[in-house]
Amino acid sequence: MALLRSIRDGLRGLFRRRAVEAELDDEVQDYLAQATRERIRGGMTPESAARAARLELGSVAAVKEEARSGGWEANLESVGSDFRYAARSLRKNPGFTLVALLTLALGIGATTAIFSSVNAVILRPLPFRDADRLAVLWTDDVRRGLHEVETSFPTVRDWQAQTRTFAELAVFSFDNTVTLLGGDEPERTTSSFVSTRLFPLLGAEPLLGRGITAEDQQRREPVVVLSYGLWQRRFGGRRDVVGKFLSLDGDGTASKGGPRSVRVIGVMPPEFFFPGPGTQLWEPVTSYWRLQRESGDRFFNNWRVVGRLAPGASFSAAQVDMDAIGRRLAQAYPSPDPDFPGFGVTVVPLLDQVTGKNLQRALWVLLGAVGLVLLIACVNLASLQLARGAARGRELAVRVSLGAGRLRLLRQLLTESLTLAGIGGAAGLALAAAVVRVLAAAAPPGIARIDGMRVDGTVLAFMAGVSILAGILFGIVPAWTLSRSNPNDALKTGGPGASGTRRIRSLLVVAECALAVVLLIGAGLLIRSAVRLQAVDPGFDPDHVLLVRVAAAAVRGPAETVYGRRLAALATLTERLAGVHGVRDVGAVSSLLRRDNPDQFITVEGGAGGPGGGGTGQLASSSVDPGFFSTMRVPLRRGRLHSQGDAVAAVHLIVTSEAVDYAGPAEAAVVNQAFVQRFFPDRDPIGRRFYLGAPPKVYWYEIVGVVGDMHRQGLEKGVIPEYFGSNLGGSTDLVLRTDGNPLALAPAVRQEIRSVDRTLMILSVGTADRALGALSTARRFQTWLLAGFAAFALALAAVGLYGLLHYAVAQRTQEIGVRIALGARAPDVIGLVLGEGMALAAGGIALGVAAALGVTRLMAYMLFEIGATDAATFTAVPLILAGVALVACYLPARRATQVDPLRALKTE
Amino acid sequence: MPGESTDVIQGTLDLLILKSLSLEPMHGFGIGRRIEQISRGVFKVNPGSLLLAFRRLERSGVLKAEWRATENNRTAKYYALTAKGQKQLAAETRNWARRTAAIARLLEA
Repeated sequence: MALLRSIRDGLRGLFRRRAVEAELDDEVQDYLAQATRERIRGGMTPESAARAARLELGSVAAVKEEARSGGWEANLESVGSDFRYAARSLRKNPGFTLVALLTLALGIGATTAIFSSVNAVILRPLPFRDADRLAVLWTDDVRRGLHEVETSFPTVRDWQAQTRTFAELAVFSFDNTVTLLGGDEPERTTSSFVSTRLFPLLGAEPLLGRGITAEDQQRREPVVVLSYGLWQRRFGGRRDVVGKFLSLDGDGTASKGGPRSVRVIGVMPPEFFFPGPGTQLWEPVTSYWRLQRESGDRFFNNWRVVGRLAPGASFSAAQVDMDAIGRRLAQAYPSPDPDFPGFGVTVVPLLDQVTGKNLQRALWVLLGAVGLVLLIACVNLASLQLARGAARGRELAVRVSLGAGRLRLLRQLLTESLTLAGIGGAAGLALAAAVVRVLAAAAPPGIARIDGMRVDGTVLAFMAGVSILAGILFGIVPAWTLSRSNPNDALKTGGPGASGTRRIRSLLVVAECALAVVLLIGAGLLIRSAVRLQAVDPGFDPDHVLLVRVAAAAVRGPAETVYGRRLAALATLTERLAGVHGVRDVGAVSSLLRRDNPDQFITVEGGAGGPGGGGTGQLASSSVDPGFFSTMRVPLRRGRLHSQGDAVAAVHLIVTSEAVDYAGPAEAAVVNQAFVQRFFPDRDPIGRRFYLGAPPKVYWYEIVGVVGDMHRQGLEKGVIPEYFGSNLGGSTDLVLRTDGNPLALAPAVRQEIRSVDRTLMILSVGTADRALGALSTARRFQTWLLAGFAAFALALAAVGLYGLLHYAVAQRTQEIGVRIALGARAPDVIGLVLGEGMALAAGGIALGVAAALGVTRLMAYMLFEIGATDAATFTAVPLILAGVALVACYLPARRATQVDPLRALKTE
Repeated sequence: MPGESTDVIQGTLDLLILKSLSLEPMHGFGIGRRIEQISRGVFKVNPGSLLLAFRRLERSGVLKAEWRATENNRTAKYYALTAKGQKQLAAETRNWARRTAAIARLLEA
């Protein structure tokens, strides 16, 4: 009832404003009339009675204002009028408004853009049901120090039977390369073998048809589920694809069975990806050709496992649970074999597995950095507002003396800054939307999910929140200070508490410098890392090298013939390519660069370290042709390189390797220097032998040569021990050293490849340089962004310092005039102003360095070969800031020397 | 001066207005004057606060207002208690008595 009345009266106040106003006016006038009459009755003259009555009532406007302030509509109304007033006041100062809007748009825009990447990569849930309850389970090979290795079927079965913290487990294989036959040309793609429980466990429903069921598994029927992308691209999104048969083949190595016909049973929705974004096909594990052989043997650890936590279980509880299971299994199935991976388990939350902890941290660091920039921008605006407030002193004082309360004034000033922030935020959003579109399109490869970056509801809410926060942040200090100033002083001298606002502005400038120092140090550390990285010798010469990735089509026939033919074809191809005009050298390697962490275990005869003379850790193997090392200009340190004869022998050896016994013949291997340092630190490695596998079935290598180390995982990763065999198969990188621009030769090379072997698929063509650079795209991205932020912060701090001193000089004109009149010379005056400015800068630097010492530790893992407290950076940055501050102070200082003492004194 | 005038004790303005109106409907000025007179000038009500209180009480349904001719043939806004206002006056009076008694006991103790 009362509420209804309140709403009705309020609405009346808003919409029938004139009538309500007239009533109020009547009432006040009536009050006045009665008061006057009473005094006349008391014997006063009408004039003095009227005066006394008015005196008693006070300002009619103030009384009405107070009476009006009771209803809710009054608040609404005054907010409206505050906004109108704010807009007017901002329009009157186009210079200030433009600077403020620009700063805000840049600050909020950058923050929003970075936030949308955080949102896409970290915050947005994975496209699975309750994705935060999913984990990947790995075997942890404690004995050999290999982490996140795959698990065998029997062990997964034991996990499933014993776990109390996982509701369910499902196995899957990582990307398995297959060739899709039929259609215009064969296509290389990736498939994953999955258990029937995988889709239900992830909570993923097919868009079309059905998922893989237990019946499929029982019947052992070869079926396949397609990704949305493949369905659209290869089958034009036709719905009748379900029920059709596809022809799949292996990756061209003869070991994976022949081509097989599989029936399409379903299509997944567009957002679904698992385990990797490139996986296009899912097949039941029963289609895996070695299932029979592997299902009962714990040595075949080829499977990855994903699990859903049981209700109430946490990741850490799951880890404890799995540790206990691991210990039980280790007791139940003791294995003396040094090659057995053991039963350690690691539980990794799925999100961490997909995005990587380091990437998550890097994004948070960037968001923190851009937040600092925005903070500096706010501080700068606060300082500007204060300076403007000094000029507006009179206006504010008039408002106070007309009866505006302090709270009212505070609100008015805050409305002004919020209006600014709102417009700035809107402009920032437009900016962010543009940046996001560019970033999502040009997303560096290797940053999971960043291509899903877009401005969505979360980002909008964030932008709105940040804008309001920014508005309050840069509005509150000036509003508080200005609303507190005494109107009497203001009206008299024309500047409210001038010295007070200057003190606050000084503090703000110190804060700005400190924040800028923190950002500069962060950026400096990254830039120093980048420079260090640039100086790393990759161990090969990537300049002027065309990199062509090709894949041999699957060929039928006995393995020996297939391998032999492929090897011969490759030799012919490299020979022909060497004849292309402009090509100097040609080589081939299984893969020039590698993204994965190779974990391979070998046993070295008479080698140092490891049980049984074996060694491990990270060990990589590749295959090369005789021309590879010379083409890449990798120096031969000892012994000899492979010959074509070695390759032919290797093919024979591999084909017969199932029968090789412990004392069998060995394939010729070239190793790198890291290999020698690891296993033969003080002996001649030439002629030494090592083997793969476990006796009695092993595969032998004999070292024939030693080459220089290559950074094949990118410059920031250390060199790992490597050995090179000579059987090249499946996918191969061709490297061509050219005279001129390598890409200019690409068409000719393509044509030559086609004319030599029509069946060869060209997967990609690029330069070795670019490919190497791509490995550190994410780092470059981070470095440039942070450097940009830091530069912006430095500029803002300089502007802040300049603005403050400029204002201080204007304020002290008279004092400076007196000093000059009394004989102070230009250097004295400059010293006076510089002293004030540099003292602030010094304070900021000291604070900033102290803060940076604490903060940069967070980014230690992002640094390359330098510490988080790198002395050079911590010395250079304060000097840079001091230098910039000096320039920012010098301009106002020079202006001070031009003060004309006569003029300055006359204004008194 | 017979004694200093002070502001009305916080929270009691409503009670004073209700009490003044319990005898007869009055206009704003009259209410202010009555509070001043009966308190012998101890309480002095600022017209702005008075008008504000009227609006609030009117909205909560304790007062009703109507425009009436005054003795000098002018129209003025007269306020009167509603039934709800009567009840509230009784309740607040009891409440006030209880509180003052408690304070008096405290001061004597």
